[in-house]
Amino acid sequence: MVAVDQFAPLGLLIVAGSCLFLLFVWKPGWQLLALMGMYLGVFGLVASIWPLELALVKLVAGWVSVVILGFALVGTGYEAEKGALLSGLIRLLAGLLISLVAISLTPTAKGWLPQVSPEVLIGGIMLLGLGLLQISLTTRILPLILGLLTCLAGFEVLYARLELSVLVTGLLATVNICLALLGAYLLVNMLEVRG
Amino acid sequence: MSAPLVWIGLPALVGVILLFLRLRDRVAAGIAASVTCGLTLLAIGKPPGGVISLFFWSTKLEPVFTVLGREFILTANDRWLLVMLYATMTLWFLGGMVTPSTHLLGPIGLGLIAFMIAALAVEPFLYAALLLQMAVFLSVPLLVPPHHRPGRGILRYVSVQTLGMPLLLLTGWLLGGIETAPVGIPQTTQALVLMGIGFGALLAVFPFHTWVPMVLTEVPPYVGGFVAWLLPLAVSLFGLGFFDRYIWLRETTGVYSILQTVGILMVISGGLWAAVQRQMGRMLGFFVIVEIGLSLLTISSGVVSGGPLFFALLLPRFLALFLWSLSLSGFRLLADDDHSLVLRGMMRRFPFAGGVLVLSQLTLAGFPLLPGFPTRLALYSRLVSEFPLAAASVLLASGGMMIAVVRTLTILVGGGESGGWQVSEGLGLRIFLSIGVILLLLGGLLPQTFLPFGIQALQSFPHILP
Repeated sequence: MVAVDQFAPLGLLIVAGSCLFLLFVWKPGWQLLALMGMYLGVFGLVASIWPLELALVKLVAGWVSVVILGFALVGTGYEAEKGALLSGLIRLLAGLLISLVAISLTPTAKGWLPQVSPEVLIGGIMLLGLGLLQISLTTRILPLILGLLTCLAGFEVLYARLELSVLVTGLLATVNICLALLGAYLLVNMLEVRG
Repeated sequence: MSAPLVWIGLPALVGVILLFLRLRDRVAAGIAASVTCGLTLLAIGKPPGGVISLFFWSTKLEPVFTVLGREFILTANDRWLLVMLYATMTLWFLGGMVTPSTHLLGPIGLGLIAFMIAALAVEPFLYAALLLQMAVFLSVPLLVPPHHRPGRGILRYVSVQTLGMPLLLLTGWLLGGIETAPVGIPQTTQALVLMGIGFGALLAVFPFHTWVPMVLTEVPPYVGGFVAWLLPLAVSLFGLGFFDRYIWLRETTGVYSILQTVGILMVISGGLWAAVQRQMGRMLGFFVIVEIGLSLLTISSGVVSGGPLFFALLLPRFLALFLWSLSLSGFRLLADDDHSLVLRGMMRRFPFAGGVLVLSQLTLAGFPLLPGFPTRLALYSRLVSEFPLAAASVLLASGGMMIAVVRTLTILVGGGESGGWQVSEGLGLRIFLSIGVILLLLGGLLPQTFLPFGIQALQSFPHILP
């Protein structure tokens, strides 16, 4: 099977939409749904570079991570502190700002990574930026893990064009799943102590 | 049989088995100690490439093990590095038998050393970043045992380490294309920037160092010290591998200037912050930051000339961190304890632990007659002629650390409990602490006998041998 170039713009749109939604919502269920959407977008971006069956690894690993976090949340009865609409809007605005920065950085980044297409570059930088924003805005476990997964997804999108090794793909998928497992472990520990 | 299978596969396998058996913490630590002790002796007697003979059976320890087209390579050059790593691990595990730790110390400790050696042995080496990342993930259940609340330091630790890994992967990709290229092409600058930030994050270099004191405040002291020894060591050896592999990197003077500046910043900030701490875990964190800064300074005037000193620092550092963690653990503190209150007057109840705690701090501060002094003296004399500012910063840090030692002494012997002296430590802990003191004194009095053990590990990096 070959790469499907047409997936890139669609993937970029899904990534942007789901990441901004992830920043805006505070309910864990919605956040995980946004993360699922993000991995679908990542799949679209990577599928424009890699053969479809290899790109599917990203989607599967991402969704497995979501499922792991979901099980941890359901199992522990996790409830996030209620967020205010205003703080969600501010985060959304900050996310939009970062998305614009990602677009403006693309020509510079193209000099560093000339092999990567503009859509993939924008998508990758946007994911990295929005993930960093998510990490910097929180000290709680779930949003932090979601931010780290977003950052890793951004890196994987950019790295996909550079390294086509099956072993690296597998190891990166393992890192994603391990990060989700770690998040689940920390969530369970925290809620056990609190309970 | 291949050498990587023995020194990587075997501990990993035993670690997994121990994890599932869920043995008592002392039993698990004892089994782990036996495995690492056996591997230490094997590395001494039959290094990679050697032949093992047992009655009618003999096999050669092949240096290469191939997985999915990638190779793990351990050669005879790695012999002393393996000895150093496994010998120190043995002591950590034995220490885990005499002090309250966690049942995960044995299994996860074995997993960590397996990942660490795999990261040093893997080819192409860019996979090392991923293996180190797995080691970081594996270390978290050790630092935050089940049913313990994770603190902010742990979250920061996970974040910083996870963000550093992609940068090193990108560096590996960039360097793959310029292995033999001359200095000055744009890719080298890009690779240097990415490598600097990536290693900065992984090695807890300024400004990514804040998690170290935070984590060491939150976690049980023994496992905290264990990770504070193992992880920076793994990353710094991985970093030395870059210098060993790339000639242009060794010859880029700008790299050394950056190492020097960052080293000075770490040494000064760590030393001064240590001086004002009253929480022993946090104080240990700042001492660790100073040690990382010192390691950077040793190679800041050239990795070839500074390599032996880099390795000479390792043994005193290990002894000091090990004894600090062991003695602090001996006080049976709780994570949220205010050490300035809880430890007040504890020297009278825990004289062995208190005395060793102070001695280990003095070792890290470079006090005469202790093993940290000869290496510190060598570093001073080296820096004072080449970079007087760096030498002054090391002196300043030592001053800060000495103040920290005085503060510790003040807390341990001051006020608090009334009554006479008593010995509250268990027999095993007393024996261990006493052996530690003997090793510290021998290391200080006979440095020419002890320090070469660490320096021999430099043979793993043949291109930076002086």
